[in-house]
Amino acid sequence: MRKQAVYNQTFQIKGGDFINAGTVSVQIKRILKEIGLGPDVVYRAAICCYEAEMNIIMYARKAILEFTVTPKEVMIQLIDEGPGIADIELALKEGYSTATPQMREMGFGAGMGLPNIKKNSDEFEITSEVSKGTTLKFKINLN
Amino acid sequence: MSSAEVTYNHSIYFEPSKCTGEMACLKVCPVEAIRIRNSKAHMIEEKCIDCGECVKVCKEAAIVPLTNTFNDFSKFKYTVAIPSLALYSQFDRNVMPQKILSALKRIGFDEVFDSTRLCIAVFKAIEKYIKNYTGRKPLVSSFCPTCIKLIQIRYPELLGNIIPIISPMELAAKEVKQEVSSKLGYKNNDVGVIYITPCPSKMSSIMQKEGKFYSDFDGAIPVSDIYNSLYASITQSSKSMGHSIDYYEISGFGLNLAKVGGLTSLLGNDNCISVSGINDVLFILEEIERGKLHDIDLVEMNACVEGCLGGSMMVENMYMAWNKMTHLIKHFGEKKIPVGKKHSYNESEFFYKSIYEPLPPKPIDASLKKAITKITERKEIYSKLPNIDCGACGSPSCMTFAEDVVLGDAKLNDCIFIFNEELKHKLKEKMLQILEMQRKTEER
Repeated sequence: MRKQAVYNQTFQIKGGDFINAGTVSVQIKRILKEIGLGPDVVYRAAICCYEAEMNIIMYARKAILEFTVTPKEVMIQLIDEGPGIADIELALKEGYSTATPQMREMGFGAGMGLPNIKKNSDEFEITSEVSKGTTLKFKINLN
Repeated sequence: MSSAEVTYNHSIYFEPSKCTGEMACLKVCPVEAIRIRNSKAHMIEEKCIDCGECVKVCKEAAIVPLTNTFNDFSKFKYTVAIPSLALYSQFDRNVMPQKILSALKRIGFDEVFDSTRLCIAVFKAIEKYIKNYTGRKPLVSSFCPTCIKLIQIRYPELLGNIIPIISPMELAAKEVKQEVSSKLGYKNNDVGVIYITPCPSKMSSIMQKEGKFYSDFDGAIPVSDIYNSLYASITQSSKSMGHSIDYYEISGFGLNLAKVGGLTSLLGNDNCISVSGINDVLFILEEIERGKLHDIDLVEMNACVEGCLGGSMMVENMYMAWNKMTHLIKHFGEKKIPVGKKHSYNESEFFYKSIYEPLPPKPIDASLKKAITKITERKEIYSKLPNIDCGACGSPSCMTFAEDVVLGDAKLNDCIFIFNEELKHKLKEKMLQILEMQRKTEER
């Protein structure tokens, strides 16, 4: 049996690590380009990753990001240890944010993070347990 | 546009007969476009951005800039030289640009043209463009062909951020062509407009004679190639000038554009950054890609440290050049705009006909499935490598080596560490064999 074509890579993201903010999404973007995916897919994946990465940096303690590419889809899963989200429905509303004034001063916290990921992905799944953490999964189809 | 249609023009080439495989170029290339195979360096065309860093470090002069010599211009009936503003910084502090221009004319051009006046017009166009711009920030301003090429190859999503205004040099070339053919009655093809250049990077657009971004220049001669004759001409015949000293209206205002940060200081906008040196340019582009500079208005970019003053084909060291340029700007008046010949340009003449096209490198494989498999293989191979980027294999880093192995351009045991392991393993087996044979003979 021929081996299925799958690319897999995991990244660690540290909460509060503003210095390295965005580096994981840049790396993912680079790999997607090297594989030769179209600009639309790369753009959407990069936006989703960036928003997800920023969410971890701003709110969680740490997270593991698992990145998978198959000929069918780009899959990203983030499992974080953090405060969790009490009301997911509210968090998915555009403009809703729990960002501190300091975060807003840095240009974050417009309440577009999760809605943006949902908007730019083809499949989106989020589960959370308050004071434990959040698991976020999203997919972008390649066809 | 499919990647198969893209043709790459380069302003440098590698001369194998001169190359000794010393690896200086391999390590200095900012975009990992050089490989050494069988002790000879070569370039991966789709990756090279013509920055000339390799030209600067090659002791054997095996990397040759594709610039012109005087002989190339014998086909023209009338030649006009337009020097890079940086040329004015290459001689003693008291040698004024007018003197340099006169000397330039004496050494073999029918006419020379100073473009500082046009810098003002270009500056005004940039100022207006920035004022009316409402798109994603920051804007990127660059007359440096290398920076533009780098963005085309690595950061195509930022192409829309580039201010699409041609350089004062290009505007000068355009103007000279029109003026000479209309005033003196030459056909366009008979007029040769030559750029006196600080680096070879402009050659690739000069060689391109069509398309949206072709250059009006017909050739380029490096500053370093004419320096000696120019120097001699300046010192020997200081009296017999072709023109009176006022013939060329040098503008101190325009000279600002020759210096890194000149544009931003003229704009009077304190929310800009000026970056120079290819590695810093790469770093800043990465920062922009990470979304870090979204509230900066303008980023000015030059691939060489100190901009064109630090070009690979300049003679004076960049710090002295900077010193002299600063002196000249002060001498001519930083904000002084000369009166006299006025130009009313049609605004459209300042703009490129479209934004730059992306030039992304080919994917690791044309088939998506194979590409995914190959990128996985690359990761697996990479995990076996020492990750010290020694370059002994002829690839600039362990990651590029892993990719070269996947692409069939290198063998895994080209890595001396892997080779060493293999050798140890083989030797061990051989030793065991010998011991085994000895034991058997003893038993008999």
